[in-house]
Amino acid sequence: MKTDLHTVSNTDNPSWAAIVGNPNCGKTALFNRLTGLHHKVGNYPGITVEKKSGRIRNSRIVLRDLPGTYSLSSKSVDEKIVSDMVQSWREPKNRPRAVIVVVDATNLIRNTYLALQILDWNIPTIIVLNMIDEARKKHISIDADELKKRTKAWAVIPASAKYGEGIKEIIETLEQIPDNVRLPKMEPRLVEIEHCTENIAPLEQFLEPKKDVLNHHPRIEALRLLSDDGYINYLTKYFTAAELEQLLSKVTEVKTALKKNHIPYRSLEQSSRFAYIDLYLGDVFKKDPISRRSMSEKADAILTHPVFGPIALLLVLGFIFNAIFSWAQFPMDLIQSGIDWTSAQAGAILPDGILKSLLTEGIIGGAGTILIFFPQIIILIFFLSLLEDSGYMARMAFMMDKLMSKIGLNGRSVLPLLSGFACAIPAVMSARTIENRRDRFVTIMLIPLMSCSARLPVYTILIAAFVPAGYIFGFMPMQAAVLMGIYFLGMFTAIFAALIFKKFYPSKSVQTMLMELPPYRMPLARSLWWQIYDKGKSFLTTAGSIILAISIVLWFLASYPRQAGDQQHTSRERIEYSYAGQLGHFIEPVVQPLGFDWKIGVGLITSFAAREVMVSTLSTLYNLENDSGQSQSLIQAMRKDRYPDGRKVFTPLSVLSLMVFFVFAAQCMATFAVIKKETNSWRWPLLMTGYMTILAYVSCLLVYQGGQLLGFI
Amino acid sequence: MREIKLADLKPGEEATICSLTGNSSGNDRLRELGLIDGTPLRVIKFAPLGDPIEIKVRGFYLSLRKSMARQIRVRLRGNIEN
Amino acid sequence: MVSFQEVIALLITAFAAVYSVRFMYKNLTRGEVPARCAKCALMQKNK
Repeated sequence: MKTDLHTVSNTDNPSWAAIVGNPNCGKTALFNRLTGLHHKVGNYPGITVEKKSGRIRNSRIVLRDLPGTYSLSSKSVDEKIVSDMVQSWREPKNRPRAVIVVVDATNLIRNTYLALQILDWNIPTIIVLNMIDEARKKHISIDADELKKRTKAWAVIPASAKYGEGIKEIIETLEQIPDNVRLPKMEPRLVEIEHCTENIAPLEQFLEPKKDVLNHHPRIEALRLLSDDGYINYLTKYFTAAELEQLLSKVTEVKTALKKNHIPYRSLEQSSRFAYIDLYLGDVFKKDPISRRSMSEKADAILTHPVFGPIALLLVLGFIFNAIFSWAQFPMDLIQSGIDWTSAQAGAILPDGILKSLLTEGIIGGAGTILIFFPQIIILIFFLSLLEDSGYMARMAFMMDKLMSKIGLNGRSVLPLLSGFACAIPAVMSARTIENRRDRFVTIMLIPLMSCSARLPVYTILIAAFVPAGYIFGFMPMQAAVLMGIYFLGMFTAIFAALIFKKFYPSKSVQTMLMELPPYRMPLARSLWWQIYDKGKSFLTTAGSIILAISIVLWFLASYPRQAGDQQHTSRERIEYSYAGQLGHFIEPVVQPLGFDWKIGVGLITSFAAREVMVSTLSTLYNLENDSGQSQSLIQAMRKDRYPDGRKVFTPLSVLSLMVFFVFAAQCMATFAVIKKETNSWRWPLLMTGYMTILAYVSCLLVYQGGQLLGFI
Repeated sequence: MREIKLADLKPGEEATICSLTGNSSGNDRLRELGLIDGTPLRVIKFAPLGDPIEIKVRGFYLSLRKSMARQIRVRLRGNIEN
Repeated sequence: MVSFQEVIALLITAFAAVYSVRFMYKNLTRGEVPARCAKCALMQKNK
C-alpha cells in the first residue's frame, strides 16, 4: 500500500478522486475505511493539515484526502491547499474522476454550503452523508434521493465511516463513473436575494467569453472576485495583461454600483448559497430545532461549568499524571527484569572482554534502558488520544480561550499547543489551521515548551529516584504532583513567552476565534489503537535506531582510549580518562553552576539527537563505571553517585535544576527542522533555539544558585 | 423591535441575526457557517472566564469571542411576535 | 596488540557513528523527520 503513495501525481493519473468536506466531518475516517490505511482521526476540527493519498482496496482508483474546510475561499494555510487544488480543476488534465464531498449528516445545512461550491465545478460529485447513524439517533431524517434530484449530484450515499455502512456503495459508485465523463453545464446553485443581478451583469458578461477556458460559471467567478481581492491571482493565467486591466476596472465599477445600492457585495455568495439551501433544500432534511438540548449540551452543563469545569479539568489532568506512574509500574518492572535477565544471559554466554562490555554495558545498558519507559509513553498517548477523540480537547480550548486572548494568542493555538505534549513535530504542523500568520508563528515558537513524550523518561526516572512515593494533602500522590508541576512549568512559561512576543511582535489584526464545539463522541477503539500503535512504533524505532547507535558510540567514547596498565586503574579512573570523560570534563565548567556533573554534561550533549538519550547515556556511563561486579539499576546508581569530595551528585536541588533544563532546552533537531520547513526561514528556528537555550541556562542557574543561597542543598 | 448585540444576550436566550457589522474576514467566515441575516440562534453559555461565548446555530455549537459577538446585531426572538 | 574482539567492537562502533551522523545530517538539511515520528514521515512523503 505504501509504495503507491509515491507514484500518485496530479497530472498523470486520471483515475483519482478527491475527498473534501468540512473540518471534523469524518473525512479521514472515511478515507481510512476506503483505503484500509490508518491515518489519525480525532474529534476536533483540523486534524488533517495536508494532502494524503491512498489507493482504494482492490481498485485502481486513488483517493486524496484534503484538509477540512468550510468553504473554497481559503483563510489559512491548510484551507489554501484545498482551494488551490480546486482551482487547478480549470485545466481538464487536472480534473479528478470524481469528488467525494463528505457531509456531516447531523449538521447538514452548514455542510451543504461547501457541497454546493464543489457541485458547481461540474465534476461528478458524490455526496456522502456521513455519521448517518448519529443522525438517525437524533431523529434527523434526510431524503437522499430528493437531495440528489435537486442538487443534481452524481450520487447521494448515506454512510457511516464508524460502522462501515455505505462504504461498498461508495466504491461501486466510484468505479461505475465512466472515463472522461462530461457533465452538462449547470446553472450555479445560488438564489439571488439581494436584487443585484443587474449590477453584477457587466462583470458576468465580461467573463462570459472565457467560460470554456475557466471551466467555471461566470457568475460564481464574479461573486468571488467581489468578495476576495486576492481571487484575481487565480485568473491571471487565463487573461492577457490588457484583459486583466479591463477585468479589474469592471470589478471596481461593479463594486461602486453595489455600494451605491447598499448591497453588501462581500457576502453575496454566502447569502445566495444559504438562500438556495433554505429555499430549495429546506424540506429535504428535517432540521434540528435550536431549542432542543442535546446530550453534549447536558454534559457540558457540568464539564464547562464556571466552577466545576476548571475543577474537572484539573482532576482529569491529575488522574492522567497519576496513571503514568501507577498504571505503568507493573509493566515497567516486568521489562526491567526482562532486560536484567537478557543482560545476565549475555554476560554468561560471552567470554569476558571488550565485546561483552559493548553488549551488556553499551547496548543493553544504554538503548535497552529506554525500553523500560515504553508503558509510560503508551499511557500518555492513550489519554491524549482519548481527550482528542472524545471531544473534550475542544472544551479545554473553549475554557482556556480567554487566557489565550489575554496573552495575544488565537483560540486555535490551544490545540497545537496541547498536541505538543505528544510530540512537537505534528503539533508544529497542525498550527497551519491558524489563519493569522503572526499567531501561527508565535504558536510554533511556544510549542517546544510543552513537555513532549520524549521528555517523559527523563522526568520519570528523576522523579522515581528522588521524589518519595508519599501523598500530599492526603490524596494527591506526590510523584504525580511533581510531574504535573513540571508540565505546568512549561505551560506557564509559554504564557510568559507569549506575553513577551506580544510586546515585541504585536498582532496587527483583530484576534478572532471561531471554533466548532463537536458533540462528545465515544472514542473508537480502532482509532485509539492506531494512534497508540503509531506512537509506540516510532518510540521503538527511535530506540532501535538512533538511540542504539548513539549508545554504541558513547560506549566507545567512554571505553577508549585505554591507559597503559589498564587493569591497575579503577573503572572510575578509566572512564574519566576516556574521550567521554575528557569531553565531560571539558564542558563541566559550563554546566557545573547549574548543579550538573560531567556525566550529565555528556548526556546533555548526546540528548540533542533525541531527548530520551539522556537516560541511556547516564545508564551506559554508570554501567561502565560500576566496579562491584553486580548489576545495579540506574536509579540505584544515581542515588549513590558522589563527587570525589564526597558530596552527592544528585541532590534535590540539582535534580530540580535538571528537570527545569529539560522543560526549557530546545534539544530536538527534528523540531528545529520542521520549524524551518513550516516557517520557510532560518530566523524562526534559530530564534526558538536561542531563546529556549538562554531560558534553560538562566533558569537552571537561578534554581541551583538561588536554591543554594536559600540554604537548600 | 430593538436590535441588540449578540454579546449582550444572556445564556438561554434565543435571537435572530439582523446584521453583521464590521468588515473583518471573521465575518466572511461567520457567513460561510450559515450565520446570515435572519438565522435564528440560541446562546448556550459563556466560558468559565467570561469569554468566549457558545451559541447554537443551524444545529451546531459554535464558540466565538465576545469581540466578534459585539459585531453581530440580533433581535430577541420573543420580540418578533410583539 | 589489537584483539579480534576489539576489531569487531570497533567496526560496530564505526557503523553506529556513521549512522548517527547520517541521521543528524538528514534531520537538519532535508527537513525530513526520520524515525522520530512515523506519522509525520508519512505526511511528508505524501506532499
